[in-house]
Amino acid sequence: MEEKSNSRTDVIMAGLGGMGVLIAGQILAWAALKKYQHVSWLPSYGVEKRGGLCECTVIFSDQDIASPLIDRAQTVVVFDGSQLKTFEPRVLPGGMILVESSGLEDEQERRDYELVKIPGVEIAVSMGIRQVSNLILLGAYISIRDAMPSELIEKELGRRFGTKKTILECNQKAFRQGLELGRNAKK
Amino acid sequence: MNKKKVCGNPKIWKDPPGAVMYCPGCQHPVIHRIISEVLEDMGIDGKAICVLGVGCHAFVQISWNLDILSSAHGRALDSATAVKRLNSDAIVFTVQGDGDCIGIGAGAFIGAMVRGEKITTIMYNNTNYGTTGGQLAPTTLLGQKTATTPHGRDAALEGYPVHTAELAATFKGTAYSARGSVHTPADYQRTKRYIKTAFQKQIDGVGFSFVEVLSACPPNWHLSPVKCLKRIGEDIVSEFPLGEFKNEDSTERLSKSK
Amino acid sequence: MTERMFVQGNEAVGWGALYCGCDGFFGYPITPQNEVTQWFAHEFPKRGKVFLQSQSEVGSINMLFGGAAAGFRVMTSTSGPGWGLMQETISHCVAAELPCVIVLVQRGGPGAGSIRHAQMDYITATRGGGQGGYKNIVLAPSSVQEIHDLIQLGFHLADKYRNPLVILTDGILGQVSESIEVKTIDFGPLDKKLWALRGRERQEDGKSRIVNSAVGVLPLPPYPNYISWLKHIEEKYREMEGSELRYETYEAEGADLILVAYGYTARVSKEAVNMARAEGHKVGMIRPITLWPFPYSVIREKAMLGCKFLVVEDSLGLLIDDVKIGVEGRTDVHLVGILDRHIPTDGGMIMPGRVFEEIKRLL
Repeated sequence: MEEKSNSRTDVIMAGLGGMGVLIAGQILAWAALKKYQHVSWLPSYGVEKRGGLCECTVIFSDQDIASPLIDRAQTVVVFDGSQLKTFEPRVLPGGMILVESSGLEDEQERRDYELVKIPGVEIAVSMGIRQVSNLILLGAYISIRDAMPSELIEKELGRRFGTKKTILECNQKAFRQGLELGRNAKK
Repeated sequence: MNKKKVCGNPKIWKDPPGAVMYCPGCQHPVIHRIISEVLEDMGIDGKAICVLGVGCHAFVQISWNLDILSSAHGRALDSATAVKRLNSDAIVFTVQGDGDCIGIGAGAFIGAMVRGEKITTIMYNNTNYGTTGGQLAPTTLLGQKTATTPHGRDAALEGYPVHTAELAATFKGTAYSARGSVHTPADYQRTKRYIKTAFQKQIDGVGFSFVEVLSACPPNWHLSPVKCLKRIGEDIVSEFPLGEFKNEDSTERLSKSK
Repeated sequence: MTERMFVQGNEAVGWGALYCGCDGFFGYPITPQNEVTQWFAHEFPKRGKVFLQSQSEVGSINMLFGGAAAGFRVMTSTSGPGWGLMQETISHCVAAELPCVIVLVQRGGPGAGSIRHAQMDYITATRGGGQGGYKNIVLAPSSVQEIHDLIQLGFHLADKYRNPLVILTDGILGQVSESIEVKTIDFGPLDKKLWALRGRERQEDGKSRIVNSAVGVLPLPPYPNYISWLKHIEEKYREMEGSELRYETYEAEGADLILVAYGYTARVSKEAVNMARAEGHKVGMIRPITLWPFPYSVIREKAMLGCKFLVVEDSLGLLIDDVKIGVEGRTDVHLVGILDRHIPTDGGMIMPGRVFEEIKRLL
């Protein structure tokens, strides 16, 4: 159970409401549909009303997905730096947490997973569009974890935002930035 | 010799006629008869679907040769709404008592008028719950003794009688609202005209149409049938005036909102 | 024609209904089923089908009463408080033998409880929650695909038995998106609804019809009296019990411990079984698909072999009563319930890890 077969990928995306956490998960799930027979996306939000914690679990697999709810995932992407501690228990031993470096104060407590810091907000701000940090983190996740061919995400962005050219271009740009960040982080 | 039949039962009454289910002097069967005559005159009985409430009026189901749904208490207009929406060329009407329509069924009644359902409702008002033994109804007159207001309806405790036909007229979705009575032959004819107009509104798609008809209840009023007619003509008509309260021809108000 | 889609459980209700010829949906807003009602508002009118938002859940269910009486395939969807309001007329539907489908997306109770997932309406769904002690089939999907499939089966069985039918889901299944295949499922032919109200002149035999839920007050042919009609209803219940029992077993062969769960907790339990099997524990699962009729016989069979039972349900313990009836005191029955959620909030969930912990404790 701890080490899953290559044909299955699971990830928990977490952060605060309004950051595009659920959308990033949706994009990943829809992209996975092109390649995998079984895909699930489970949202959970408003667990604590103040602060608006929200998360979604995305699983894609060639085999039946027993449960769309899982205690721990191969990868956890934390979109808000201040929430590392909250979500640290949710990664499998040997797994990885990608965390937004902006607002990150918590120290890594567990030593059985790899922690990668991504300056998504900083880059998004430098691009002039604060809202696309979610696509930057998604891009970083795709390239670091080799989760799926990046073209699948590009296609999904096209499907989703195709009629809105500006929005599509922003998201594409952010996603590609994220891919690049991930490739550099891997080196 | 040329013979013309001038009396007899309406064609849509089964044998034996429904009157056998009713107490002597009850006017419910008289109103049933008016509805029967109107459906036959207009030639719409074959495509009519009647939804009944719960109360004495509902005994008509064993008498009428119509497609009939006997609904849950107060819910006739909810059920009729679905029948009409799914089957828009049927003639859909409800027959309800005052308690069924504006007591337990007030929510369904108002909902149907808010939506302007193309349905016709005939409400029989005998100012009490007749079937269960003559208890207080929303329409009970002030001072009227019932099984649950043994000292007479007291406004301080039970409020005032509700004027259903006037209320119905206030809704934009309502095309037609009238109150009739059958305590004189002239009123019988007027009420028949009201009911005919109400069905015509449905056929024309103008909106919801409503006729309230006053009806005598001798056993629960503790009066003889003749004295019941006198009570209607005097006390009840002065509380519940007869006539038309709304007669809308235009469907414009039902067209798309701005 | 099959179409692959990625949809939420609540939306799969709509796709299932559309593909099996549902004619009308009548609903009232309530969380966590709002996506169901909104789906129908978007998708039905443009296809010439009826969607109507009622003035209350009392309105919705009585609209079903009317629509079903007129021979149409009609449905509604609700959650806890709305479910409570509908009970009276569900009973009337049983009495008047009117087929319709009610989707209950369970949330936390009692009272207004919580607006989020739970499994706390098991008893009222399976025991005839309204007046008069009636029965209705309850189908419990545990995936988005199965929601789509069981809606279609639900309409078929409702029509077959002329009885209302409940699809019991929960706030988690309603929210989760999964890839599904959308298609029309063929369950075989059904009798024409010759009993339905159309207006006398449109009836094939030209004779008028009455649909009535008070057969004891005004007897309707072919039942000369109340008791003969009750006997007919009872025969229908027995036929449903005999023919419509559905359940799934998973790794149950040779198991020492059997998990019993439906809906979202069945998914969680399956994961827990996988975790336990990976460590060599002999654990299996029985998942009732019909909650009424309930698979007592298969529970009894396992109990006679000495299997222990662990019920996993997001409540204080309701399904567990049915498992105990099946076990007949032969063996222990344990519960992982709502108090075992991963966090103690309305958003907390019963997680596979917690179930696995309990499995290890019991073995």
